[in-house]
Amino acid sequence: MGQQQLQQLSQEIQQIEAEIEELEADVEAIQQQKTETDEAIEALETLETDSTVQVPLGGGAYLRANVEDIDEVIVELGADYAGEFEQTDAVETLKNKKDNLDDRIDEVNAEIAELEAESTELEQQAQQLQQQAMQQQMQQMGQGDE
Amino acid sequence: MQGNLPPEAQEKIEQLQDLQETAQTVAVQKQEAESSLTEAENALDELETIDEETPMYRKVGELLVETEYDEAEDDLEDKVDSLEIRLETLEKQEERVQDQFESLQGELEELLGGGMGGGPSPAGGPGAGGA
Repeated sequence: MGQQQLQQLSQEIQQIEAEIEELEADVEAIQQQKTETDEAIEALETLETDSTVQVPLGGGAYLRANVEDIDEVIVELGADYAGEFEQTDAVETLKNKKDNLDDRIDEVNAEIAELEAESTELEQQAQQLQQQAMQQQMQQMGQGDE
Repeated sequence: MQGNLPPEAQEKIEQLQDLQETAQTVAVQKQEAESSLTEAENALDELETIDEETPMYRKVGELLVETEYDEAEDDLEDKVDSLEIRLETLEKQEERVQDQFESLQGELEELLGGGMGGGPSPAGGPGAGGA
């Protein structure tokens, strides 16, 4: 029965570790979104109407273009919607987005910490079970010698 | 390992494993629904801070199609409502699976003479995969 319990604990620990890995990947993806948002803010703060930009076409190719109106910036709000903003409002919206991303990172990190605590607890349980099993074995061996 | 167990106990262990898988699927669906709900709520919050005359666009594939502010607001409100309902349904399903798991675990303990304390629980523990 002890072996069975150990196996179950080890399965649970593995599941938790897999969940932690997934959540860590989520944090990385959110960090990436934050970096992209920072880049957009930087670009918007640098550009003005009539600025010349090189638009990436993919494959390392760029096409020269002029910014027709810096006060017509489209920013995605999420859930498939986007709004058109003036330059300063667009920057503000992007900064709000960044705050939301920070909140999400905090939430996911809290979840990771919870799972790590759970995993540590299960590891301790597994260690105790192993020690008990070893003690039982030693006792049995001692009795066998008598 | 399970070869030494009575067939009835083996069957129950298999049922427990199936329930564990169901619990994991529900946990993933719940996480997705939670994430979509947060996204829709944030979009709605953002929408409420901007002028109603603001030109709005809806994403269709890679295209942005112009839409009305009111239409966007209505659609996002509907989205939030339906995601809240979906989340409630998934939470109930999660509870149901947890209850089934616990009762099955109890039955297995009885069958095996009460040695199952601290056994497995769905999706790595009650409430795991949630938040």
